[in-house]
Amino acid sequence: MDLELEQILRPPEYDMPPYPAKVITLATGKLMVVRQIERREVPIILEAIKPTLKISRDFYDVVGSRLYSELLSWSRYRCRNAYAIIGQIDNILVGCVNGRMFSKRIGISLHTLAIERGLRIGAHLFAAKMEYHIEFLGQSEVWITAESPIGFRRWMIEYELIKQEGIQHELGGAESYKLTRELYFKHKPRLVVGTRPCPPELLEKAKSQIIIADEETINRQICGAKGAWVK
Amino acid sequence: MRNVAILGVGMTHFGRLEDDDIIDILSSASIRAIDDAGIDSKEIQAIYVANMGAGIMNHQTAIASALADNIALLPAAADTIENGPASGASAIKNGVLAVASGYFDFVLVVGGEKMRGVSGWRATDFVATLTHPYAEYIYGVTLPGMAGMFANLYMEKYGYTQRHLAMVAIKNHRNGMLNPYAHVQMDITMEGILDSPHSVVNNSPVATPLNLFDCCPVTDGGAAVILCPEERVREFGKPIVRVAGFGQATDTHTLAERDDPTDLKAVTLACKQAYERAGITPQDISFAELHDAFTILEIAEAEHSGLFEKGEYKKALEAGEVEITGRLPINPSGGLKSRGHPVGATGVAQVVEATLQLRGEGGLRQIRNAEIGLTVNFGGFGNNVVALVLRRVS
Amino acid sequence: MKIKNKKAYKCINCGRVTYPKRVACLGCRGREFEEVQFTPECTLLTFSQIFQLPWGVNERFLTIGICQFDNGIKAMGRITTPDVKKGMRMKVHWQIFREMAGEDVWGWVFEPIPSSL
Repeated sequence: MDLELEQILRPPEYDMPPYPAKVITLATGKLMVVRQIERREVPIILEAIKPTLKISRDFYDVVGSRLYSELLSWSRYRCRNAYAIIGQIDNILVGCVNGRMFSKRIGISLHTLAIERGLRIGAHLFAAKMEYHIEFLGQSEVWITAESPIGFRRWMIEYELIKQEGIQHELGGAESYKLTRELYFKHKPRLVVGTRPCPPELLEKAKSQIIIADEETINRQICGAKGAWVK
Repeated sequence: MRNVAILGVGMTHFGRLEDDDIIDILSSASIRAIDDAGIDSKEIQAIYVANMGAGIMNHQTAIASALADNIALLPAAADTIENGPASGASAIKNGVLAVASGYFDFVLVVGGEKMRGVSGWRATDFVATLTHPYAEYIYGVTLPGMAGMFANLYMEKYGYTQRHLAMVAIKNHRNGMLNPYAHVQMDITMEGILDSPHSVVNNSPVATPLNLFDCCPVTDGGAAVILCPEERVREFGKPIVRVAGFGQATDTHTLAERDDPTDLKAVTLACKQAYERAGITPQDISFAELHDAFTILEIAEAEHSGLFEKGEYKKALEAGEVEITGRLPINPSGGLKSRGHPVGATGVAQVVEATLQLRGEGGLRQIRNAEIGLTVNFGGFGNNVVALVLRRVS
Repeated sequence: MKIKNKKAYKCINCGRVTYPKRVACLGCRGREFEEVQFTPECTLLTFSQIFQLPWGVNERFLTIGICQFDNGIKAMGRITTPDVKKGMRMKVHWQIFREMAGEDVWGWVFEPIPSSL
């Protein structure tokens, strides 16, 4: 690597306080550790995201392909002021969300990918993102757009997001909406949960290894195995 | 009138059947029932198709005719039966009458629904069309909303709490884990859905006082039975499961106009008729498949069907009496809560489950001493209810 | 859209109130009715705050309930706030409360009366 060239291509970043891990009890009684990842953990997560590139249902392919490229570019220092937060149950990766600081004041929510369905993992992880931007990065607002109807229903309606006429979210596509500090704290009691600190042994265990399911299992978790003619 | 038996049963997996349209779903369920019966399909003289939403959600009508063509049952008589969420049991009732009358010997009854092809908003709207058009529907009310209004009154009147509702959901999810056809196979806990402070997200409100895990999912799926005169079952070497009785009753269209909105008169009357026709009392029932589109309805139907006194179901829940291993198993299939609720298919799926139990083919969820089963299919919001009693004949 | 939910009726034969209109009385199957007026206040019988709404309704939630008017008529309607309890006294509004297929929709909107809070 040409270090001088790398210096040019790798711009200075904000000093971003870390996201303190938390643990959430899910409907099944299982515990999900929600924590921020380091760049070195990206390759294994990319392996888990890869199967989604072939799933058009619920726009998993659009979300998956974009999340893949965002995580890859962040891990290689080509996307600045970004972060990713994951959910793990017994070390198994069940979801991943990401975003970045557009400016000191404004955050950008990028993507939310839930691999395990039916447990509100997407809702929990999206809430964790908003928590990070507002409470730990100290930002005033977060810009959000939706790529799927489920996303739209979950976020635009649930959080009463404010539509921003004529302001383009950096993902392109649909109109952008914003979450303000006021809206966040208004809805926090019913949308943002978790216990802190995450018990140290649980956190250490989660950090020690990210287990990902094989492609067939991931496919089945997202799509279900069912068809009318399946025995 | 002659006795009618169930010769064959079949159902698809319930869930999100992405690549299948409504005719695929109905066809698959029908073929499974035909194969289970072991008959040549040319023997089928009449078909009753139970469906509520094909016209609205799938933009397809006259589906009974389409099905007859698709599975080569021409020139059989074929009708679609639409009775809201009670379409399934209504279709079974019609099939039973057709065979009992002597007009037909072999009848296919199949229920199916394709609901996941439209957005959740549209599915919610579709189901809401069963409410009164200008006294209820226009307000934006939903079926969960109707159930919420009912639950609000019923829980106060009979001393039920969120914990009791959660116990119903947990039991039915546990049963669903044993049912390979169930839509939702997820073992949930009281900690996860009620006790933990995180349950505010896990089990968020849908229509107060009902939360996410108090409501059945939106499901695709199909279920079918083959009916025949009881005296012909032996030709096929099958156990005899008789449709011993049925009952049906209607009530006011609007919830507001019920004399007492907590009184599910149509359930009580439909069950009473079914018991009388079967020559039994509620005490003779071994198990029941009830219509728990909402957890509160399992409780209310158990009490209005005469299986339990009003307000007493909670004791049975707490004592484990209604578990698969209990004295009177309720919803061994996982119910609508876990098995899922493809609206037109549900009533038929309840009968499929009852038949499997009575034959001893319930697999891991087989109950002991299955002699007589009750199914309750709750149409509208309790304004059209069909009850069926099935019994094993030695 | 013709307004069909504005009037309540009483059976001339047995006195049973019907709302909305129907062809025959549920009490005696009689077919002659006279109009009955609604009262300006009513009592809340039951309600639900509904979060998962149908297509065409864009609010985050709606509160819908059933009220009994002071002369016995019962009707469903929207409620202006979820902060209500069964048994509360409500002020009755007959108003346009939404649009459907480009037309204004009239119906009942119930508002809690402050003294009963």
